[in-house]
Amino acid sequence: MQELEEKINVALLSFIDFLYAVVFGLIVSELFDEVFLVTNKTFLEKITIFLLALGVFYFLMWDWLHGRLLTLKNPYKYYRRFFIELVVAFCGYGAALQVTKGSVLFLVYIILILLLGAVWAHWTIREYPDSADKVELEHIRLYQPFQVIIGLVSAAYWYFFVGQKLTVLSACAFLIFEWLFVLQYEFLLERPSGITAGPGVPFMNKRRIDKFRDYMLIFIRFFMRR
Amino acid sequence: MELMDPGFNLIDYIIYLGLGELGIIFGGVAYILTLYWIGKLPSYLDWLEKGMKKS
Repeated sequence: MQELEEKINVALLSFIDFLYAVVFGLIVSELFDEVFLVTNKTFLEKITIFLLALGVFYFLMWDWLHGRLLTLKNPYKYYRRFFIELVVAFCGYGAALQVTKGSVLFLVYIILILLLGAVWAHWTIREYPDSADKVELEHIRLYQPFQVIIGLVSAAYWYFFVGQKLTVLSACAFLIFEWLFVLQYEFLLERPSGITAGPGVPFMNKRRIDKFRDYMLIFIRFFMRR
Repeated sequence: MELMDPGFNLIDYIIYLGLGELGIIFGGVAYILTLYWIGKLPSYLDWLEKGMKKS
């Protein structure tokens, strides 16, 4: 029975991998068809879309890798998490499509992915109440909804006050926010060294993050003792 | 779609950048405060310390 369950897990994960390969392939294809090979877009428009596509591509890859690492350690017991991952892949494609159209609405899909990630973590905890990754799963379940609220406010402000069209400056703002989000995410979690830790934070050494986390622990412990 | 929109307002943009960054940081602080509120902060800190010693 266990062997059969393992085989089903391998089949389901292969299907998810295939779907993500299609999504990533479509992002690259859209980027060439709608940006690099068209002549009716200015250089700045092309740079804007390229930067945003890069950010969305990195976010999806980062999200998929961490989801996959957790699934390998906590395989599917039911089909719930599998279907959530399917919807996440669809949202990923939606985000990429909106980016290539130059629409700020891509943020809605990013917000949906974060929200679905929290639901996914909730069901993983329900399936594995004694999992070794319980703290990380609880982190996803609790931390991501906070970022969803901030993302919603940010998207609304961007849409109504900064502009509905994407510019190079707004693309830079998105990349800064994304980097800060990933940095804070990794800062609030302790990961092992090496390939099992995931891709980490771009342009930031793990040792430096550990050092800052050490200061944070001293700071919080100090306040808790008082 | 250029470097700046025709109706671009630099002050709005700076407010947006600042609020966005503060918002993300606030998300982390709110997370820690919630852990404290539901009584899970001590076990979370222990887990962080244990992991850091291991690595």
